[in-house]
Amino acid sequence: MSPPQQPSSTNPNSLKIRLTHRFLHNLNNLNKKRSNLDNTQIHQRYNRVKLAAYASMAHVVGSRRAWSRAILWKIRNRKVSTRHKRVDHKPTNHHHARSIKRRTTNHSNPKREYVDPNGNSGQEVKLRKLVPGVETMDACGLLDETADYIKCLATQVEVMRNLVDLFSTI
Amino acid sequence: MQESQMSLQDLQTNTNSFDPTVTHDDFLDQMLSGLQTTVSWSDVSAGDGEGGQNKSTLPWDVDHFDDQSTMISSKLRQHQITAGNGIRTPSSAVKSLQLPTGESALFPNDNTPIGDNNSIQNLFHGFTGSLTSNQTPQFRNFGSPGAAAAGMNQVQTTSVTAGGGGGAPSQPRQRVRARRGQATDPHSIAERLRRERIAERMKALQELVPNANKTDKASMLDEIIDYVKFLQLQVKVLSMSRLGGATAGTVAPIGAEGGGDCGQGSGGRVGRSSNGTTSSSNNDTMTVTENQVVKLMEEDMGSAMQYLQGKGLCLMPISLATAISTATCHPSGSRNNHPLGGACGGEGGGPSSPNMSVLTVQSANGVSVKDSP
Repeated sequence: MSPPQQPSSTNPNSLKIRLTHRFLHNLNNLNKKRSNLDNTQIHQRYNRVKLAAYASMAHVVGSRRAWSRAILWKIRNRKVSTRHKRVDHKPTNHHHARSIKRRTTNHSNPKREYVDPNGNSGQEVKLRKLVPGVETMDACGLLDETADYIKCLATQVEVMRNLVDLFSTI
Repeated sequence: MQESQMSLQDLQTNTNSFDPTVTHDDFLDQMLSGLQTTVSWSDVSAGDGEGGQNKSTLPWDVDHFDDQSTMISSKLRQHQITAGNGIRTPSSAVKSLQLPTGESALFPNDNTPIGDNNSIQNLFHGFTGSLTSNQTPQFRNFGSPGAAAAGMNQVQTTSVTAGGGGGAPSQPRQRVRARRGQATDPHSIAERLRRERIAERMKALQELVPNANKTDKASMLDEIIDYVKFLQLQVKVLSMSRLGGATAGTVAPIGAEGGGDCGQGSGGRVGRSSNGTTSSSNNDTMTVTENQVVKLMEEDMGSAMQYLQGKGLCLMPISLATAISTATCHPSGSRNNHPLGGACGGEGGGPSSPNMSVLTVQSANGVSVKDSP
């Protein structure tokens, strides 16, 4: 799946390169921080990798876009909460991760409303749920953010797939 | 005479609802398109207070007219009720006109002054010429005088709002109905700009999303939503493959969801089939897995495949497996062979599609099914 050629400042090739750099950087950090080889913590590791993927996406794009800002803020809040929570031993990772997620989402979007007051079609609402950070945007900006988000997601997926292939054939 | 009076009133009424850009036919169609408006003749008669002659003619009986004109007039009357006073003011100016049919006294006097009398006079000059002819063509003739009096609308609307009695202020806006793409109202212009911006964003999105041959906006939005979901799913799957040993519970739903986008779904299976670094290397688990697979295969091939994929294994013909193992000289711990050996024996005559699909996934991504060191 090749990334489409976009005549924008972030052309796919440079975006891919930057994403690869950043993602590997994040993965390295991830592996250095903990060595979770235990089976029971695989889920946690998977979550961390996924988080690293989104974080690298958001970092590469920077604060230019609403969705990247939202992701960065979520990560920052999550880090702060985990730092505070690290004192007491977590019973299960699942519950903790879920509760953390809920807290951060509430903070990040206090005005979030799934029921559109304008009575918009369900599709727009669904889209707002999928793309982070577009809850309070108008339809025009929403489509813009969605386009950028799709572009970055597609590039990220390709980077990850290439890495998987690379690592699995060593 | 009553007919012609009625027609004149109608003519006056029609000028209020008249947009210079509307052609005769559009106008007629609009009038005859079955507008259901309630008519209160008493209001009309109460509105006309001035001309004595009018009092005698008002309230005009519906029975006096043809069906068509009745319908039209009844529809127009609704408009006229609110604009009634405004309409009647030009009549004061027109009263000085010498209508060929001598109906200058038709129009009731009204005390509220009208803004632009001249244009109205011009309009009625045009009307008078048509008064002699039949009723229906008189409606048609609106086109020319209406087109001539360009500022008529503005005048009428302002006069109506100034002198309109019980009508809501939104009434004049309802009457003015511009053609598509020619609206001069700032609201509609802003609305149009907004729509255009959204349309061009949608076009940009269409290029990004595959299967973008849909022209409908709603279906396009559906495609976009599905694509975003699919991409997020791919990230999830790919991040799981790094760790290796993803649990079957998490993978199984992915299998169901990944089938939604068949075009890109083949790439999504890479993660699962490259799960070579599973931690279970026990032989007992292998036999257990083997038995499980056999059991599942007896009931349904698909579930067996899913189970295997959840474990990071797949089925392949024995010949191919042996060829790969001998060619690449992998370590002897190629666990997949054990279940395969038992399974493919009975599977040789079975459907070849699952095997082929697995193999194509592998060959497409250059990943073998064996354990990666």
